[in-house]
Amino acid sequence: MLKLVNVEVRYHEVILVIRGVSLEVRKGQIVSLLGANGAGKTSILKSISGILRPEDGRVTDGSVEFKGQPIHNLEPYEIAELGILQVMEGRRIFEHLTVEENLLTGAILHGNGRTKEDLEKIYRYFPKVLLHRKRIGGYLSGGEQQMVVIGRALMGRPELLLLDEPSLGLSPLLMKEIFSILGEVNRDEGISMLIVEQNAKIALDLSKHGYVLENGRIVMDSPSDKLKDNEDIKEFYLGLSELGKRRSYRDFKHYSRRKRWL
Amino acid sequence: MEKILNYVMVGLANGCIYSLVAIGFVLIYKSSGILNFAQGSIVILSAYVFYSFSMQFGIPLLVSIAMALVFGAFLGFCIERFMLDRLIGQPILAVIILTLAFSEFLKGTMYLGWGTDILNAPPLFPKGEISLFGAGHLDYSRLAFLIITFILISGFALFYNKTKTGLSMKATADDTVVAGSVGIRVRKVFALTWIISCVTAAAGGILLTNIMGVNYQVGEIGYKAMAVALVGGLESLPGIIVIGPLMGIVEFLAAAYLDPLVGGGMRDLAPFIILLIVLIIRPYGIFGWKRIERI
Repeated sequence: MLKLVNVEVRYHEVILVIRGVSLEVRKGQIVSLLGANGAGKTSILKSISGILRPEDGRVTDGSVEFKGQPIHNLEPYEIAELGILQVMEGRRIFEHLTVEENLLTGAILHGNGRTKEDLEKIYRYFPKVLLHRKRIGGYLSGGEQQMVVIGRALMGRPELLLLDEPSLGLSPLLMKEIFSILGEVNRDEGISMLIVEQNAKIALDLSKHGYVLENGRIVMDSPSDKLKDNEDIKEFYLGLSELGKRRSYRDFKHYSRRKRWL
Repeated sequence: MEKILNYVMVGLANGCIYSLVAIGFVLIYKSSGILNFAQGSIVILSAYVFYSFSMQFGIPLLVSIAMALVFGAFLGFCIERFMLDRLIGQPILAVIILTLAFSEFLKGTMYLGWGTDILNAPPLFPKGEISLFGAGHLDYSRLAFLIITFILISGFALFYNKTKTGLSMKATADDTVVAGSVGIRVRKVFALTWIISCVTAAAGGILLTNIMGVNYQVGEIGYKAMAVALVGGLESLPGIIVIGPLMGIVEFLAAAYLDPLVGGGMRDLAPFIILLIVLIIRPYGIFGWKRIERI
């Protein structure tokens, strides 16, 4: 459904942050995109949703295709109307609007139609949000804000949801809750998702397929289960090592180990 | 006692016009962070246009009013589309200075086109006054100001709070980038913001012709409206609706009771004294948004 072919992204015409990335999200699939800080994860999402432009960024090579149609030169609202919505990093709620108004802004891109049923659906997925529907968005807790922001995107009835670090700054319990709701939404509504995460475990548990990004390049591309078993992923992203075994000091010299794949 | 009530009513009516003009400041500031220095010039330019339509071209009064309002809308659209749209992503200060330059440009044009004399526009309302419970009286035109601004402002408030377009405007005012990401057509919202701001400014200008005549100096009202917007809080529509009339009342009371002591000029000074005090104590205005920070 979504296909990136050799995408290159530059900011201010000179700063090259994405160097020829290709990836694919199939219909109904959840795909995770992992990588360290500054690897270019967010830039990839922005190149898909079209909000590179306010930051003076541009797709300078390759193409972003949605259902076979190139979309990398469209305005954000046009992309949203096609069915791709991004949940931006850092819980970007409309701080001075009430929770319900926040959700309603998500429905603006459609006609008047089924707004009411959509609202009820969101409240069903996120019962906590219903409790606060009249409150001002800026005063909600982090987890609640994240739920509102995801709900707002769902109000736009997307076919593909781009999630930028939904776990950022949330307690492990809330993280679990939100990811299990995402799984539910994916199952019930058939919405495809591309999830950018630092928390590799939770993302790989939910997704079918994963990509690992380093320095603006895809360095790994395989099913999530395989990624979870990969020694390098285990060590660098999952923080696992073989506990309980005696380890020689050589192993602690992690700098002697391969950390870059390209 | 009778006198005080009179001053209060007259100030109230004048203050409503400040609110009307200040709506433009607040809307534009909220949606794009720009402080529009040209607001006052737009007010008076619309008044001139109204004058020309009705007096020079002899177009019937109501039609001239409608045409002047349409002119305001067109002006707003042009400012946004042909000047500001090109400056998206540029430093906000450049845009603010641009509005200042545009304001001076408009003043110069008006000076060239209509001269410096105070022109008399056709009266909008019949002459006469009503008495207020025997405690004072108010002339018809100021009474009409009260009613008209009340209708315009409440109509606008309904539009802003109850319609989808109003919601898009609110969302864009809150966070432009996110508004774009949820599928709001941000450029359309910007254009609409400028159109509404200029139409309300034009409405204020047309009303003002009735009490002050038409002269490019009347554009100074823009600065008073800016003071109202700043005191109320630049992000707050309820703020200016409350502060505008209050400012008008303070102005007239200051003129009545302080002028004899200091020898005049308090009417124009009072709003700015209040502005100074408010800004020192609450820099974001009385009803302004203090950014919501949660830790």
